[in-house]
Amino acid sequence: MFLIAYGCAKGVEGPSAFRIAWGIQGIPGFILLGSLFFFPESPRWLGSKGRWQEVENTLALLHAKGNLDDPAVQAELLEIREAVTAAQNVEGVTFFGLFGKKMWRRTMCGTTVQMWQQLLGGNVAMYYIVYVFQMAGLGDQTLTSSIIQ
Amino acid sequence: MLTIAQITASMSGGSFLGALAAGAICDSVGRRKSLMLASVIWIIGAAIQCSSQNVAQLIVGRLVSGLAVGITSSQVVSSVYAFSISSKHGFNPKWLESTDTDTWVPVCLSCRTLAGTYSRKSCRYPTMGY
Repeated sequence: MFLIAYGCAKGVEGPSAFRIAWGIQGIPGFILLGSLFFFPESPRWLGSKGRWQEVENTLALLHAKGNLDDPAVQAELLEIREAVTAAQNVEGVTFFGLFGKKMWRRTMCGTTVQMWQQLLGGNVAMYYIVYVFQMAGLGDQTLTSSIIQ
Repeated sequence: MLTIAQITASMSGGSFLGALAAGAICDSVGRRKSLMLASVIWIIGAAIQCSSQNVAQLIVGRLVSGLAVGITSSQVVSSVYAFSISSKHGFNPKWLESTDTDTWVPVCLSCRTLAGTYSRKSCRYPTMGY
């Protein structure tokens, strides 16, 4: 993509240079949308809505090529049943439960891992690398940054 | 430079909102349909950016695309989790993650943005890095 952007910047004149680059990003969206029609629904979500026949069919399709009696399918089904029952029995769980007495450590672990990953600066470098190269006085900033990306 | 900062940040802002909304959307319509919704939002965002007449339209377009990034980056991982067999949980999603839209849709925009808001189950492996 970075090289497509470079090609658009160098080879195309006028506003169509950025229109092509930003238009191309729509293509993966179409691919995802089209392929999702062939995707099964998540068995766990179906279970939480009580659609057990569909859960069984989906699991058989995913793990045993459609064989409903496969032991792996039955084991998964049992596990999902347990998980759904457990989730239904627990009442009064809210968003603020994440910051409860025992949970806040887990919440902190989960969120700070993502936070530190961002603070490492990878994304910042990606966004602003052209300006960094410009300040450093490198010759062809667009090409250099495209290759590095 | 301020304008560039706003253009850059608008997608992160959008994905923040998208990731917050993703849980509720997914609970009501299911993962498959929420991902479909996200890809439609992504296409709309791409169209808005593609037809930009000024910086404001570009910022709005990136905000809309950001919503889709927020939904996919939290729902794709949990979808893969749901599809994989339990003995492989925590392993399967990691390598699939690098091939699915979660990563490469934003890559196609020349800027990977992750909201930083992940599903509960995925907290096991993000340390392995993107």
